[in-house]
Amino acid sequence: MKTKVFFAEHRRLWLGLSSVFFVLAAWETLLTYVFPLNPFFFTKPSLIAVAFKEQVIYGALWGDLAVSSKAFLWGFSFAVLVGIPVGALMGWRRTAGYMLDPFFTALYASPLVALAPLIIVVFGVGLFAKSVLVFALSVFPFIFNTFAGVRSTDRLLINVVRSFGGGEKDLYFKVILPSTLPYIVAGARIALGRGLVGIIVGEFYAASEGIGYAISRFGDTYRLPEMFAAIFLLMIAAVALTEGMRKLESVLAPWKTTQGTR
Amino acid sequence: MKRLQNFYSEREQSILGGGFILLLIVLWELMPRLLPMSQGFSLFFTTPWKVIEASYQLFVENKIQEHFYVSSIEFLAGLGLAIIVGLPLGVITGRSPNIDAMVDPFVTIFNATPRLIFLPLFILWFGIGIWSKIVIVFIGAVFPLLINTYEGVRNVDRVLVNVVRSFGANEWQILERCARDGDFDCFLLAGRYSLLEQTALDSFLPMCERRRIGVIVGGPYNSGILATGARPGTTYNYEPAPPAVLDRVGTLERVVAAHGVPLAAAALQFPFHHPAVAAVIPGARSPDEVEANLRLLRHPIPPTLWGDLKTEGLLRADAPTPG
Repeated sequence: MKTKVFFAEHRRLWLGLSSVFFVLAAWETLLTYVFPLNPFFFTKPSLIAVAFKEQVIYGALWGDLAVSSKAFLWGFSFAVLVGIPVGALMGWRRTAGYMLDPFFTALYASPLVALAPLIIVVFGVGLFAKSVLVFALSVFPFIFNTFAGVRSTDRLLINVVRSFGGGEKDLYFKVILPSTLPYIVAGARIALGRGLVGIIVGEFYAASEGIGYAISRFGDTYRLPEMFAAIFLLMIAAVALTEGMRKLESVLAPWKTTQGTR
Repeated sequence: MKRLQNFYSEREQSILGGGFILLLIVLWELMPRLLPMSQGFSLFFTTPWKVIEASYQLFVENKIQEHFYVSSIEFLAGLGLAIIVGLPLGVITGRSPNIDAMVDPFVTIFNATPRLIFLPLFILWFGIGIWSKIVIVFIGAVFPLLINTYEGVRNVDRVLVNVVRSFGANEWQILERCARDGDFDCFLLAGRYSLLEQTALDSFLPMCERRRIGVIVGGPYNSGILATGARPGTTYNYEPAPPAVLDRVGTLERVVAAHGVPLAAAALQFPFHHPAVAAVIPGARSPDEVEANLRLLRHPIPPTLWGDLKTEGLLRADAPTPG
């Protein structure tokens, strides 16, 4: 039975890798032997690999990634620091929940990226504006998930702690926090995706460095291999972050059963 | 005063929520009047009223409608394409583990990456016209559609699998209806194929035989009466047996006894003779009853017994029996 399970997992990996390889090989072959490659509009994996190597070893791509990461980290950290307490307050104090819920819902539902030009006008081009954009996009998942987590805390558990003589501290650390944590981590994964959008939008609109800027600059100058190299680098970073968050979810909230593989 | 309090407590949520938004808008409106602003800053500042004025102006001068129209077309076309591609692909990946394994790396990668990074590429390929936007809407919407369809298909499957593992009913009509929609390994049918009732013979059991669905027959004694015989207070289908049934069981008992067979033995062994029946599960309340069931199961029954039951009109002629 164990070998069978192992084989099934192995097979999944094997199928996945070979399909990625197949797509890359087909892409390369088609543009080498079937269609003549117009380097202004398209490129192929071998050229991207060369550009990737050059950019990663000698190029400015790492610098761009570092600049973007910095803005992302600032914005995301503030989203955590603001979102969780605000969400907790909304969950604990009914009045606060009633007051803030409609307002934040409206903001969460509207595409805040549309505010990018305004934010750049107000805060200028650079780290600060990008951080603000990341913050504005990623704070709401933290607010709403903390809110939902606190509210969905099992009344019965609270009563149990109370009737066994537990104090406020026990209530917060033994009941409310553990039951809210899975919500927060799940929110963090949503916030991650939105934060990345914030970075890219900010750098597309107006920037002088950063990975988003690199992508749009390479596009504007028809340097397709470099552009794809930058896209791939961002893809790797995004997948690493998302999968890392998933791992964190299973470590911090192992009691939460996540179904499916995605 | 009391009435006002009631009014408030009934609508607290909407009053607080709406009031807060209204308060923010009023504060925003009053801000330039309350705080002195430098010339430079007021250049970048506006108030809600000015926004409303400008919206009205744009609308009256017909400047906004055209943009709205173009954006709507881009949005709807991209979304439509995403539905056309995402839904079938989600169903396919949900149904086939192999295709799922092959598509999964791409879905994971593209779903984690903000699809917006492809905008410069799409502008390069499709120009700044409507198509680059349709494609970006498409690639933005197709992955959530695909993933949710996939999850939906997978979850439905899990439920179905559980149902297939153990599906039972007291009415063969329900089971027959289910067999039309799903692919089942076996059915549990209670009380509908016994010495007292063979309605399942008409279409249900032949269908199960044809589709190789195993039938587990429950309630071979029809909840008691075929085990105890026609005695007052015995139950038929979990209710006190009506006189007509008691009569019939009495006749059955007589015919069976003529062959030296207890009624319960005939009742327990009868369903096994149908080729679609995979098992018979008589209920037992005690270890003694389990042993009694085993004895009844081994009790020899002369094949002529079945023929007699059929000629007496107690058993349907088309019920499969030995001899």
